[in-house]
Amino acid sequence: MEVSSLQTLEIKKLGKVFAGVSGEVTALQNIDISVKQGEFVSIVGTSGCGKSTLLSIIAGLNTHTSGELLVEGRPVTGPGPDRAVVFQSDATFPWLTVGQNIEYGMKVKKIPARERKIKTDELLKLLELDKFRDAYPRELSGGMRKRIDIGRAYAVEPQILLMDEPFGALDVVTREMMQSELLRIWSERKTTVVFVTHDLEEAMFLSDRIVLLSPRPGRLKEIIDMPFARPRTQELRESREFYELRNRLRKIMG
Amino acid sequence: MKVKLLGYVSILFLIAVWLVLTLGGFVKPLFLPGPRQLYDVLSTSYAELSKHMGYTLMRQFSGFFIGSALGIVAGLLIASNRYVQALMDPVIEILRPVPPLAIIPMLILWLGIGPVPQILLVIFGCFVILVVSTVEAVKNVPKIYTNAARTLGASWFYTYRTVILPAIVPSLVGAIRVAAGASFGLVVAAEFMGAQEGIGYYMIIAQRYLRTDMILVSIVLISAVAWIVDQLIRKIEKRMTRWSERHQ
Repeated sequence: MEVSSLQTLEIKKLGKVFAGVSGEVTALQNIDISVKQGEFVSIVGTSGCGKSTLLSIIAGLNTHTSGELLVEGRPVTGPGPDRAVVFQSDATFPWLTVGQNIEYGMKVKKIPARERKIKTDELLKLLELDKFRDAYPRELSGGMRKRIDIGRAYAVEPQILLMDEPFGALDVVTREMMQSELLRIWSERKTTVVFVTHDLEEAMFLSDRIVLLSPRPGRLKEIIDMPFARPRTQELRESREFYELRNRLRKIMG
Repeated sequence: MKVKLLGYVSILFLIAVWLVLTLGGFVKPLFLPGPRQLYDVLSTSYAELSKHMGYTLMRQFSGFFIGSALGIVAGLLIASNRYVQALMDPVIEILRPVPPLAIIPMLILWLGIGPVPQILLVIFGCFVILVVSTVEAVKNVPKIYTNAARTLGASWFYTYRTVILPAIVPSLVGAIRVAAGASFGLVVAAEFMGAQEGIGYYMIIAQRYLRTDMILVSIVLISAVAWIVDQLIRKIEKRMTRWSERHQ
């Protein structure tokens, strides 16, 4: 197989069956998705569609029961820094300062201290956290802690950045700000992103493609390309094009 | 600030009651000694008191230190692996409800009345407190932290060292405070039952000679030391857990 033909992420006929109290529960069935290098793909669905399960399987924190899951052509066997995750709830380590949080994954990778410092400086600047390098996360707001999470994930230079409803716990204003912020960072770094959300507009604003899942069991409903040009600005949300596509997708979701 | 002052008010009130009762001659010195008698004891038996106190603190501290350290290490081992846990849990569950004081006769029978059984008693008491708290603390570390570490590439051991250990510090310090407090009680009780020196021994002798004043002085002294130790641990706690929400 030629290297150039490899997809960054390839999911083939993937299924997940849980052994529940009252027999087996099928969480995911026949999922087929492939994601190219540098693509921003969102997985959208109502609660119970298995989108978070799917993400944790990609992360290696959960296992699938059938099908195939390949990253850069290799099957996933467990969690690893090639697939860093930004979780929904606050996952910054409260006992480390902002700078130490960002450095954590680089320390795991045994990157030399000097290089670590340079990269941390870069990321702190990119995330506009440079003034808070020595602060503890509890001293910062929810939005800023989310940036630490994002920075910590970016610091290990993952092949794929996995995001599990990362802005779900933020207020509307902060959420929209973080979405623009994420696009800004993503356009600078060009990391492949797989983003899970139940918020259709969020997915539309951010993504190149949207994967719609339907619930119980989680199945692939449709994959839709987002026709909007980049860079995207807040005006996009108010455009007619955006509004019409949103309504169309809303109908597909049922 | 003003609300805090209320605490001093109640203490001053208690002292005032004590002064009125003893200096006013409402109770006999044999029942409750006054400041005068306490001062006499302190000034005449200063050397003897500090010698006994020294013995007691040596035993208390060694037992507290060894017991707590063993408890933390055992707790970390148990919580680290479910096979170790399955193996050790029943033993811990059997030891947990044993009142430490109840094993004193056993220890004396086995080991006599030297310092060894006394230190062992304190070790036992502190060990049980710390082992249970450590296992509990590890279990309470939010899964999201260990998951985050693992997705950043951290191995199991690295995660244990850099996530579990720092995350449990606040609850461990709480348990250490409890153990320190308990250790004073345990060492004194051990000395009541079988010792030839130590503040507990001193109190038993005082009781035989109806020296309420000597007993009261001993109580005040040992409590003062226990209080100071507690304050020290709290200081260390504040320094070690600056990151946690509690001191915001």
